[in-house]
Amino acid sequence: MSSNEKLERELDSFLDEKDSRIAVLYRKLPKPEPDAKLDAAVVAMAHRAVPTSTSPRQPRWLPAIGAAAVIALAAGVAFLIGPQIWQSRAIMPAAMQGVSAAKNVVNVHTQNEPSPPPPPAASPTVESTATLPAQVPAGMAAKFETAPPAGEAAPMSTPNIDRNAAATQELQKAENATPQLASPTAFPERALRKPIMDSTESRQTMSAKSQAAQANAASDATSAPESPSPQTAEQVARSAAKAPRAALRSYPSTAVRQWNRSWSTNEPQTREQWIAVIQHLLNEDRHDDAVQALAEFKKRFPDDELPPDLRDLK
Amino acid sequence: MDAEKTDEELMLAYARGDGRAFDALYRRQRGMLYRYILRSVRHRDQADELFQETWSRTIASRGRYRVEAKFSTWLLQIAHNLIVDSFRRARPQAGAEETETVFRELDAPESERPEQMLNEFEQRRRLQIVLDTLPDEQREAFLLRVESGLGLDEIAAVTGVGHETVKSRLRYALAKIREKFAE
Repeated sequence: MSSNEKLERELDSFLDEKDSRIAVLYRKLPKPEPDAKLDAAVVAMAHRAVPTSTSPRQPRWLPAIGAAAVIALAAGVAFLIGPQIWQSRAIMPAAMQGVSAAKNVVNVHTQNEPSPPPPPAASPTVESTATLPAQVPAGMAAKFETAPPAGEAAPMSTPNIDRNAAATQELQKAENATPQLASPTAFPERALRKPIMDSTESRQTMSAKSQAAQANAASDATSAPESPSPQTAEQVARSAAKAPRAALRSYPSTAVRQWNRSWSTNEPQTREQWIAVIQHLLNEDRHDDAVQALAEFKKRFPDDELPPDLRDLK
Repeated sequence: MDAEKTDEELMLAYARGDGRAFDALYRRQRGMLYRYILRSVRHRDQADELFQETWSRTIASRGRYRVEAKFSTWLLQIAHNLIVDSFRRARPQAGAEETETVFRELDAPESERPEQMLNEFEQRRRLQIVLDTLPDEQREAFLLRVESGLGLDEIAAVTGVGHETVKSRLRYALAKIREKFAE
């Protein structure tokens, strides 16, 4: 084996690290390393190049998630509290409108005395909205879940409310005291009885027959109205003969008999019934009553044409 | 977790700003690089300077790093360039007379040599002396092979020469070591 071949074999062994005596010997050499100072210098240089790398890396999504959570929380709070704040702001002008509306209602009622009963002024809703804001701070009104309508709320001005309530109570008292005013269809009982009980002039002009009839009617009114006497039945039969048959059939005979006691219970409903009643009164020579009944008839049926026998009745 | 990554992955991570990746990478490469530099220049102060400069250039070039070869090859290439520059700048090439003096000493009869009774320690010492007397290209090729574990192609890539040139340099280096030391 030539020296060249031996060298080539050793080179191959050195490159393959197989049985390379030189390589084995080299690895037994001391292994110097950089000292700690040099290591620190290199590492510091590397970290200076990327200054933020020394601190633990925080996830980038963490600030984004935090910001989103804060926004969602703020939106939720605004969603819960916002409408209440807006309601409390809206209550003030609505309340002022309610005060003026209530004032107008009072004025109308006081000017037009015989009018339909006003809406109840002491309803719980109006009371709560009318009195609470005068007693509690304005911010407390925001706790009401439903704002009252502008026409009902009158929270600020208690004197106006008192005046409104007083006027309403007066109207109710008047209605209770004179129900005939509240009910325009009711015929005044006192007006019906007056010619019978007090008018001596009419009594003098009455015929004996009509006096007897009045006496019977008065006795009926004071004694037992529910049990018709045979004489009253005859009178009803006579008046029914003069009145239209349909009207007499539709109108109860007991009502005809009791007509002068209380119109509020069995008042005539139709035109024919009214006419029958008026004719019945005339037949009984109760002229004043017939005139009043006719006036009431004209109120009820202003456009209707009177029968010929009633046109000249005054 | 960094222990499971390759050198190339660690370098890419450092290029993205991961300082801990550099720490792991440095721990892996510091000894090999330092010994390569130290045995190339043979002066500790100079080796420290070149070692730090090698890493400085590595850090500065992190953004341009591409995984086209092993990271150690790229690192040694930087160190090689610095070593060559230092040779050209500070130290003249060993002359033939100096080299002949060393080999003459190695080739002296055993009776004339005090190291007749060489033990292993002396053998290592002699190896170091022989390495120091080798021409720079041969020594560098030898160190890249035996210290850094590079193959012929990688040594060629680091030193910028051809494959056969590297093989020739290694062949001459081994011949001189064998002739002057091994036997």
